[in-house]
This record gives sequence, C-alpha cells and structure tokens, in this order.
Amino acid sequence: MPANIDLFKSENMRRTEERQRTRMFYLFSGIAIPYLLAYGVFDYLDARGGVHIVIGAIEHLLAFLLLLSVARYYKHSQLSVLKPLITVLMMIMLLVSMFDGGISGTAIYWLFVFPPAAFYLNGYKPGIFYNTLFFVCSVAYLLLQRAGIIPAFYSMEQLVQMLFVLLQVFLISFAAQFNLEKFRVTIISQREHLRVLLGGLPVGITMVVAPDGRLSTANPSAERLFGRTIEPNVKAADFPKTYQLAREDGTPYPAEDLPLTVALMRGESTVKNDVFVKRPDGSHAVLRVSAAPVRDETGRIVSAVAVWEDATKEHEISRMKSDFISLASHQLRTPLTSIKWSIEMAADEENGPLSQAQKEALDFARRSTIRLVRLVSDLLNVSRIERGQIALQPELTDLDALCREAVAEINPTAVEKGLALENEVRALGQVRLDPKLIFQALLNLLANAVKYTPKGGHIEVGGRRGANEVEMFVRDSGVGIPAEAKDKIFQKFFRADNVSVDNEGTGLGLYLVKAIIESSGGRVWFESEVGKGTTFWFSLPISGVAAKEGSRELII
Amino acid sequence: MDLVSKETGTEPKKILIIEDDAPLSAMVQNRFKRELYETVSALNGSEGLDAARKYRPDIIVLDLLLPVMNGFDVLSALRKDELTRDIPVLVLSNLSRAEDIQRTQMLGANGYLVKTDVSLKYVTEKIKDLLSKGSAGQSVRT
Repeated sequence: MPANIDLFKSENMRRTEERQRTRMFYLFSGIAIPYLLAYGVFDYLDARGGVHIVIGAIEHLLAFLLLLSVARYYKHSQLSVLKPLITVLMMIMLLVSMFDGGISGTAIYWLFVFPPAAFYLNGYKPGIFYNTLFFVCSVAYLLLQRAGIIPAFYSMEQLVQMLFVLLQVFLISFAAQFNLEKFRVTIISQREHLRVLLGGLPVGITMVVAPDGRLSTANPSAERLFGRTIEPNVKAADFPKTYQLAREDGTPYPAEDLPLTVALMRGESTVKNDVFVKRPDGSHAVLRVSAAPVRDETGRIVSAVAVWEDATKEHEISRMKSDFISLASHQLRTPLTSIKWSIEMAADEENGPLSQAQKEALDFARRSTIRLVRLVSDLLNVSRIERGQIALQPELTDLDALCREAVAEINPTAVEKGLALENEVRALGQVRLDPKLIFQALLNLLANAVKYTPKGGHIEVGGRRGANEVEMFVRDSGVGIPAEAKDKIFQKFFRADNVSVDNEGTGLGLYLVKAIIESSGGRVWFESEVGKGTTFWFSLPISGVAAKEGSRELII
Repeated sequence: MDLVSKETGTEPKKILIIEDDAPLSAMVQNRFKRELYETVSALNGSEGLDAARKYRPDIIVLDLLLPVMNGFDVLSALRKDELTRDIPVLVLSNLSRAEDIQRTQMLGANGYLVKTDVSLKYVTEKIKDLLSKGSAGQSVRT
C-alpha cells in the first residue's frame, strides 16, 4: 500500500501506536496462551481416547487462528524474545502430533501451517532457520523411529510421504517469502530514498489518501511552513479549520477548493494557488500550493500530493509595489492637473493671442499630457487589479448596444487614419456583466486594432452566442504579433519588436483587457500572423458574473 | 490666506478654495478672478473650515486629500455648522472612486469633479452654474 508511507509520523503518534500494540499483546496472550496450554493437554488426552477427527480439526483451526492473532501482535511488538518461543512451541506441537499416530489429519494440517507461520512471525532469515530446524527434527524423528528408539504409529512409507509434503510446503513458502523479501528490501530502500529526499526539500510536501483525504505524509518543511506539528489522519475537509487557511480577503478557504481536495476528488492538477495561513504563534504566511493526483495502475485516484512554497515575501513585495504605484499615481495626478489646466488655458488664448507655431507646440504638450494622465490612470488600475480591489457591478447588458457604442467611440480615430471599421455584431443578446468594464476592454482592443493597422486597413468587430458563452472578436489587417512575442503580449508594458516605440499608449491596454475579462469569468485569446493581421477573441459566460465587493473601481 | 477682491458695480461673489497644492490653487484663483469673483484660499482642511466661518463665501471649492483635516471631515463640519450649512460645495479632487463620490453626496456636496478629467473652463462653468442655483439646497450629481 503505497499510500501508507507514514514517513514522518510524529513521535507522539509512534508512542500511541506502541501503547496500543502492547495493550493488544496483553489481551491476546492473556486469553490465548492459557487456552493453548489447556488445549494441548486436552488434545493429547483426547487423541488417546479416540474422539472424532473432525472435532479435533475444528479445535486445531480455532487454536491456529488464535495463534495467528497472537503472532500478529508479537510480530509488531518490541518483545522480540517471545517470537522464537512461540515458534518453538508451535514446532513442538507439530512434532508431537507427528509422533501421535492417532490423528494424522492434524499432523498434515500443521505441516502446512508451520513453515509460513515461522517466516511470518520471525522474518526472513530466522524463518529459514526454524524451517530447517523443523526439517532436521523431522528427519531425526524418522531415523529414530527406524532405529526402533521411538515407537512407530505410521508405516515408513507414510512417514516419507509426509516428509515430502513438508519439503514441498517449505520450498513454496520459502520461495514466496524470498520474493516478498526482495520486494520488501526494494520498498524499504525506496522509502528511505523518499524520506531523505522529502526531508531535505526546502518546499513543504503533504500527501492525502483516498477516499476521504486523510493526511498520510507531511515533511519537515511542511511543518515549518505551517508553523506546527502536522498530525496524520486529519481529513482534507478539516484542513482549513485545523490549519487556519484563508483566502487573501480573510475568508476561510473552502475545503472543496483546496488544491489537495481538487486533485483527490476531481483528479485535476492545480498550480500555484495562494493560501493564507495563520500560524499558532500568531504570525501569518502566504503559501503557494500546487497539487496533483496519484493514480494506481487501473487509473483510480489513490492519493494526492501537494507542494507548498513560502510566498510571503513575494506577496509583501508585490503589495509594496502596488501601494507605491498607487501612491505615486495619486501624487502624480495633482501636478499633472496643473500642467493640463495651464496648457488648456494657454491654448484657449486666455492668456493672450498665440502664433500658429505656439499653438502647435501647445497642442503637442496637450496631447502628451493627456497621454500621461491616461498612463497614470492605467497604473492605478493595474495596482488595484493586482490587489484584487476591483469591484464588479453587473447589470443585464445588451451586448449589441455596448458594441455599437464602443465602435462609435473609436470610429472617428479609425476614419482619421483611413481605416474601414465594420461592426458585424448581431443578436448577441443580453448578459449580466459590468458594462463599464467590458466596454473598456472592448475599447482597448479596438484602440489597439486602430493603432497597429496601417492606413487603408480593415477592422472588423463580430461575435457569436454559444450555449454557455458569448464570444466576441476584434479582427484587424494590421502588423500582426510575432511568434516570439505571443507569450508576452498580455504582460504589463510589453510591446512587440515590430511596432515602433513612438506609438501612443501605455503598455497596459491588453493587460487590463485580460484582467477585466478574467475577473468577469471569461477568457481572452488571439490568432495572429505577421503582416496579415490579428484577431483578438474574448468570451463571457452567458450565466453572467456575480457582483464583487471591491473597494475600488477602475478609472475609466 | 489672501483675500483679493475686485471692485465692480455689484458685490462680487466670494469663492473659498480649499486646496493643498499651492500652484494649482493659484491657478484656480487666477481663473476665478478673471471671472470677477473674489477668492479666498486655504491650504489645509482646518484652515479651510475657519475661513468658511470667517468669510462666509458664496461657494466653496473643496479638495479631499488635505493635510490636518481631510475634505470629508471639512464637508461634514460645514454641514453641521449653522453659519456654513447653506454654502454650496463643489468637490474638486483626484479621487475617482464611486464610493468617494457617493460619500461626499451623502455628506451634502453639491457637485463632484475629478480634476484630471475636466478642464479649468469646465470647472468655472460648474461654479457659475452652482452660483446661479443659489444655496446648497440640492445636491447636484455630475
């Protein structure tokens, strides 16, 4: 059972188990040993009296079951001195019944019992010793009988047959035990590898087993990350409570969303979910957890393994960065206002008439200022998105109308640039979403299309309504996105090599589109060919999006 | 604090500008003076509140992120005071959250403009508009 590697079982747990075994040992030896002793006497006397053989066999069976129970607890007990004693006792009983010609069925029966029992109870090497001893004793018995020293109950022929049976049983159990031993050695060495490996890993590893997700393994790093001893057998459903796991907003982490549970129950791997943990010493940590299911050869999920990394520092830095951007953006806006207003006043000739050249210069300044204001707003939005502060205020929205508005807004720019802008959106119907956010996302995509499509080009907006999702696209005949840029296109401040840097823009447009669409439960993707054009797609769930209380709204 | 008035035939309207950024404040004052308003400026919240009580302006232009006492508290104090209760207040800030806008409305602001989103010309028009409406009876959503 690979699921039961209790590699890092705590010392407490070990002691508890030991206590339980000792208790069982006293219980069984208290019942079994007197019974066996009484039974031996009874059996001997009875055999002489010629009681029916079936009753004898049943009694032997009961005795054997008891003996096996005892053997089981002896096997696990530390009182190793009793194991050989039990073995020798069994051997003597067998030899005695072989002496005793009265019930030969019992003797045959014992022949089958003793060899495997000796292995089972004492392990591999002592098992060979006891079996050999038994064999030697049996041969010695035969010889003594032949010499006439022991009275003969069986014919010589019967005894030799019996010896062959004994030899066969011995060989079979030896072979079985030998394979088992090889297997055990492999498992032990692998287990040791695993223990050293897990013990030395800087990341926490926890493992839960099917069906109910009990914890079977936790390495020392996991205990360090959780700041406490991890007790085995805690159920996955109790993890959030036991280990005080929470989401970023402080609400308890739902057990069914925990990566370990997701892996075990749904068979899905999850990558890098952040879990907030409150340690017993009062400190807080952010743990980044990934989990994957483990399947047996039939494909059934038997366990799940989770890897925990400490992301506390990363979170702090990211938060500081966001806070800084937020503060800097607010601070930037005030002087920007002065600049913007001054330029506007001058351009409106409120401070006196201007020459054409002065007007042009002011117009450059005005455009740059507007761009700067936009950049600052986008930076603020990014810092809000990254802090999860975006509020969603969904309402039933007519997507066709929303699309018309966005196209109308961008159309003058497109016309100015000599681009044909077509709106193919028809009958997309109504979806419950935050219209301001989706409008912004669509506008960003359209603005990008206009920006990166050369004069004379063509832009098309379209969409389709599926069973579960509405998909919309913005297609352009623009410069396209080079293959090597495809992974980075949604990153902040990224711009592909094939577009000139003096293009206006903040480098945050697509990043915001992605953030908006994903926060609304949708996806964004694109197809592109350099020199031919790009199509950006996004989907939105028809079921709509739930309202989200965020302290902030995007500045739109 | 400076008090500038321009002699005209009629009594000029008085505008109190509570704004901590001095250049911005100066620019707004210049613009308003050109419209023949009388302006008073205060560079922090508590100074602004004192000035409102002292000069009883016809309208107050209020920033929200202010030293000493923030704009929300100033607004709330203005509305509690018998002397200043009826003075219209136009919030002119760079905070753009709906939450902040709603809060100022609840506190009794008569208008809200986000600085970077509007031109100074528009601010001036808004002031004229509010002055023509007179007292702070109704709040105006912008």
